[in-house]
Amino acid sequence: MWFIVILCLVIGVLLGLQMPFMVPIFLTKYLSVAILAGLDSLFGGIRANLEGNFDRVVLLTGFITNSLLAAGFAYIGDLLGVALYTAAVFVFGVRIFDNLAIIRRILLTLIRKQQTEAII
Amino acid sequence: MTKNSAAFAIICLILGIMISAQYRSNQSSPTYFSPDRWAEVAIQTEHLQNQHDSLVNEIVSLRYKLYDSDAATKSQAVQEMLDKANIAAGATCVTGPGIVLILDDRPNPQQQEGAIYYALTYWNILSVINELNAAGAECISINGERITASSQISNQQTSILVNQVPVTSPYEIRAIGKAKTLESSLNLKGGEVQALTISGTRIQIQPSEKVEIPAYSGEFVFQYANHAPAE
Repeated sequence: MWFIVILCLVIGVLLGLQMPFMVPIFLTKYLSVAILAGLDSLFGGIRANLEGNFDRVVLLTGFITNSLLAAGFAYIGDLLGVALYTAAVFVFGVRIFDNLAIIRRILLTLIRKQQTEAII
Repeated sequence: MTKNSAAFAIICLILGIMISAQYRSNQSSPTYFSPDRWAEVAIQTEHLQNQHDSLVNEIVSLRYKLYDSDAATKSQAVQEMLDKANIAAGATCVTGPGIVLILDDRPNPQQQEGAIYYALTYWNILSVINELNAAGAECISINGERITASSQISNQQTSILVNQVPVTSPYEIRAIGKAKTLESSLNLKGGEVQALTISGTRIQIQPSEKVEIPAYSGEFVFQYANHAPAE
């Protein structure tokens, strides 16, 4: 199953590289914050899956709304002249690190459990 | 494939597209400065502007040195011809009686909201210069740029360029000549000044006894033209 997911990621990257149209330059800043939000919900989904309380709808809705909200936040920040974009980057960065740490911990626990079970 | 992994797959696909699109546009636009670098660019711009100004001053003063160094050795007639040629070419600063004409097309804060204002184009300024020349103006400058025989007034997006230098409103046009003639010919019915006043530009004409016009700070390069011998 995970193989298909990673395959989709690779397909997405290749598709994006082949796209005939480019993102307008003034949008790249908002797109980067949206990507960060998307990564955050992806890792949040992986963590929820490993913890067992995965909800498909939460993941999908969270992905879309977080990405749009992050881009909108950065845009409002530009309108007001405040670098709200920085706040979004900070928050999502922190959440990504948290999620990755918990994923790592859960995976290590699983691996250790498998090792002790193998010994027994 | 379970529905859960389908959700992951969709999200990975979209993320993959976004990431590579962002990467591509980032690679191809190295000249886009993020807002963090604006301060750096502003400082650099100011530095270059100062350099440019001091170089322009140096050109004018060197020209004067050249001009004055030969003065002692030339005869009176040649000196007079040289003076005239220099004034005509725009190589020296000139003073004399004339007028200062100010065209202000900025939005009027006293007008009501939504009033349409007309922004001057290079064509309007050209017409005014033409009328001044027709009325006998001997030297003209626009916002500090001397108008020479080969000066151009052109458009670049939304700004007007004189001698390739951008000028902004309000436009101060100085002309040396007979002040009364210049002023009355500008105010003639059907002239450019009348048309501009109707469309909302604020125009001030100030006659003056001593109008100072700067020298042309560019180069005189004649790549194709050569002196033709007298017939």
